Amino acid sequence: MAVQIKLMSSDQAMLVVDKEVAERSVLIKNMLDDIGEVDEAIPIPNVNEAVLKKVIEWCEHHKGDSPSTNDEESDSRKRSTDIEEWDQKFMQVDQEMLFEIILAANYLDIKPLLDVGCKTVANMIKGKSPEEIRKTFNIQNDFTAEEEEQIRRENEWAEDR
Amino acid sequence: MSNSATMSSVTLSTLPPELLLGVIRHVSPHDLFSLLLTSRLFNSLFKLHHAHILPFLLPAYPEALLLSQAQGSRDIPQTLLTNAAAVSGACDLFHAETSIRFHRHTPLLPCERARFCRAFYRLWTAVTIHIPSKSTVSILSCPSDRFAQTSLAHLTLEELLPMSTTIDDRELQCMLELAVWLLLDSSLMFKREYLPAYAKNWAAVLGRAWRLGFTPGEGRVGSRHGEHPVGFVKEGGERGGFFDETGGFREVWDSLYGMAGAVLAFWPGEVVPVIA
Repeated sequence: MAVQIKLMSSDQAMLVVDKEVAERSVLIKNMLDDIGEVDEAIPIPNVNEAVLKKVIEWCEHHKGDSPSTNDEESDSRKRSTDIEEWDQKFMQVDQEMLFEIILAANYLDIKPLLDVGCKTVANMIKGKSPEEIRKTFNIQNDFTAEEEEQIRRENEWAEDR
Repeated sequence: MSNSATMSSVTLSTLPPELLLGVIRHVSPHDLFSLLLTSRLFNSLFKLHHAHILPFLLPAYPEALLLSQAQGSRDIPQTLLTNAAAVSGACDLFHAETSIRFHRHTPLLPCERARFCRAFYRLWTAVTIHIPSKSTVSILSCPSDRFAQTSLAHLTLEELLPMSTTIDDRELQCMLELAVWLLLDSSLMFKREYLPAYAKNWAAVLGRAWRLGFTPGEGRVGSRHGEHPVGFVKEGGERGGFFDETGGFREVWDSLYGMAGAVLAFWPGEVVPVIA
């Protein structure tokens, strides 16, 4: 039977999870390496129950994945918009949950999940005009017309020509 | 509702900078342009961290930056970025063309050959205009051995030289200059496994060019090996090339011929002498 550990979310919910699954988090893995086996629940103070459940769901699905190599990381630009079908469906959540997952992945040090989250946001930006991006993410335009024109001039190298 | 905007406490704008950078490194240059125009937050972030972001967006940016530094240039960022963007675009196009051939392992069809030559020409033009003194192989932003394995070294003479009918003189001149440049590049010259293919193919290119009526030019270019004369002219045509005009072609021809001979002596049977 797989070894299980307990995690305590920020809203005091206790979740029981296979150690192998939890160790997708480098933070938890290092913690378990340091303190050894424990009966008490490990506190995860920055992540609430709903988000922690989502993160565990992702870790469950990816528990057999091999760690990413440097080659894969250096090749990340080429594959920047590629997201596995399962991960795409997993990320079909409202924006608050999406950003909470990204924050949790960062806190728990789960790099592949963080990458999937960042790629999902990048895909939501893809092909949109500045106004469409503002609308999508509720961003307030704080530029004056003159400032906006200057930014356009400074970054014209990136425009499609 | 999927990925819909909600009035939540956590939004894109409230993510910490390091996570916003994580998002930005996955967007294209064009999408970055739109993002920078949305608010001061993203524009300031890019200005602060552009050195970290740009290598992900523009593979040629580090090359452009290094060149700029090597020349002691005080290039304004916009110029540098425009150059890097142009070279990156040309490189992408070139790699797309060459990958067709590499994955198929068959000779190019006539229409593919013409497209390849034109992609090659566009790349060469971009490189010579924007980063004139940099090795083309470096600009192509892939390891030289992989480059040799996947593209030019394996092109056959028959693929490279129906050029007199499929590409114009200017394009041919560009390719000839690249031939010399590749032969002068030590990172390729001393890779034993690729040298015979290079020597054979490029010496053949030059030999055919000679027969097509291209005669010695008077260009000269400095490289890490010293100063080499290059340049090609076709009788009645305009001079090709971007090098200073102070040298002669015959010297280069002789050295290339000598190199091909040395290769032949060292690896007998691996190189077919094609130079008359």
